[in-house]
Amino acid sequence: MRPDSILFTALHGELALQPGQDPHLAASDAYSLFVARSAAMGWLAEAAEDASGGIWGMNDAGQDSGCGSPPKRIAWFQVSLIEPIAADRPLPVQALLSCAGDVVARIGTPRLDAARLLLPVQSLAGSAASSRVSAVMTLLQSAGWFVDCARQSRTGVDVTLDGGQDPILRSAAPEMLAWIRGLAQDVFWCDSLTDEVVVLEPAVSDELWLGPAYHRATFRGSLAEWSVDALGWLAALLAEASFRHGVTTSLMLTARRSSDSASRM
Amino acid sequence: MLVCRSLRMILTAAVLSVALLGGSQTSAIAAPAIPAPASAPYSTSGKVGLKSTGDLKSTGDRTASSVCFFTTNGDYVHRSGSDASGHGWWVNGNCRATFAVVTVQLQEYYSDGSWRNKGAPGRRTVRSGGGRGNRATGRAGCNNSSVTGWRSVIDVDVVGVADDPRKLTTPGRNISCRRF
Repeated sequence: MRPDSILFTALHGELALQPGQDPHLAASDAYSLFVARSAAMGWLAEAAEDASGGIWGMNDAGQDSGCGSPPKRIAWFQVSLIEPIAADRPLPVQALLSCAGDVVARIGTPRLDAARLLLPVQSLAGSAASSRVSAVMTLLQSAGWFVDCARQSRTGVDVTLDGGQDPILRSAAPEMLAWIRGLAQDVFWCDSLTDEVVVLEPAVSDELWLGPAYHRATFRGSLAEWSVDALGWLAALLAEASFRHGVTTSLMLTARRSSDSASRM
Repeated sequence: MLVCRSLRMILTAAVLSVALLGGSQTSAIAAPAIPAPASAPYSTSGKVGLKSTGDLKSTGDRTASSVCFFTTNGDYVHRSGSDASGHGWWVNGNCRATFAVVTVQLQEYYSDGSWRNKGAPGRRTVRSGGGRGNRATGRAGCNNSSVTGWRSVIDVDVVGVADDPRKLTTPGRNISCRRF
C-alpha cells in the first residue's frame, strides 16, 4: 500500500511584517492561518472519520525568519491530498498556492522570488492518461483568469522538475515540451529545455518523495504574470504533462523568476 | 447545526466501535503469533468522537443551561523529520473557560488489527483556536521508512468545566514511518 500523497509548498523571497507587529506576540501563525483560510474556502478536510468535503488534510506549516542563502524561505505548508482525484480535476496546487499566498499576505507584505512544490503525480493514476483530457480542459478553462494580463506583466521563469531517483522525467521532458507547446494557451510560453537547475534551500525531506534530487529537467519560458495563481496553474499543467508522459512518482518543482523585475504578489 | 453534528457523532462512534471489535476478533484467529506494525486499511482506519460537555438535545436555550460546547480538532498524522507527528487543539463554543489541557497520543497500526500507543503523549495547556503556541503535538520516532498506519487520539479537558470522557480519534493514514 502506498503512503499518503503529500502536497508541499514553500514560498521564497522577502516578507515585510506589518508595522509594529511582533510575530512572537501574534495569536496566529502560518499553521493556524492556513487552517482557517482553507476551512473558509472549503478546501480543508477535517481530521474526522465522518468529515465530508475538502481536498486536503492539514499536516504542518511554518514561518521562517529568513535564514539561508537567498531567495530565503519565508513560509512552508504541507498537507495530505484527499484521494481519489476525479478524472476531470487537476492536482489542487493552484488552490494550495493561493491559500499559501493569502496566509503570507495576512502576516505581512510578501515579495515572491521563487517557489517550491511537491507534486504527487502518482495520485493522478486513478484514471488513464487518455481520460485526463478533461482535467487538461479544466485547466484551459481556468486559464481565462489570466487572459487580460498586461503584456508588461509577462515574466521569464525557469522551472526545474526533479524526479529524484526516478529517471523517467529526464527522458520524458522533450515530449512534454512539445505537448505543452501544442496546447492553445498563453499562460505559459515554453521556450526551451535547459541544463541550468533552479536550487532552493533548505531541501525537502527525502522521506516525502524519491529524493534526493537527481533526475531533472528545467523548462525555460515566460508566465502571463508572476503570481502564486499563475505558478499554481503552471504546476498543475506540468503535473498533467508528466503523468501523460509516464511519470508515476512525486516530482519536486522549483520555480524562479529569470528576470530582475520586481513584482508584488 | 452543532447539535445535530454532535448527536450524529455519538451514533457513529458506537457503530464503528462494534466494527473494530469484530475486526480484532477475526484477525486474532488467522494472525501470526507476533503482530507487527503494518499499513492500515483505510476502511477500518479509525473512529471519531467529537467531544461536547453534555447532551445538547436538552438545551433549547444555551444561556439558560449549564451545558456548553466546544470541539476537539486535530490534523492528519504525518512524517516530520525523523518522527511521526500529529497536532491537536480545541475551539471554544460557549464554555466559560479560557484554557484547556490538550493531550495528543499517537497510535501505530499492527497486523492483528490493533492500534498501539507509540511515543510519549504531547500535553499542553492552551487557549482556544489552535493559534501560535496553542497546539499540543504528539511525536514518535521512526525506526525506518516502511509504509505504516498511524492515527492520533486527542483528549481535551477544559479547565474548570466538567466534561465527558470522549476523545477524538483521527482517521488512520499510511505514512513512511515505522516504529518497532
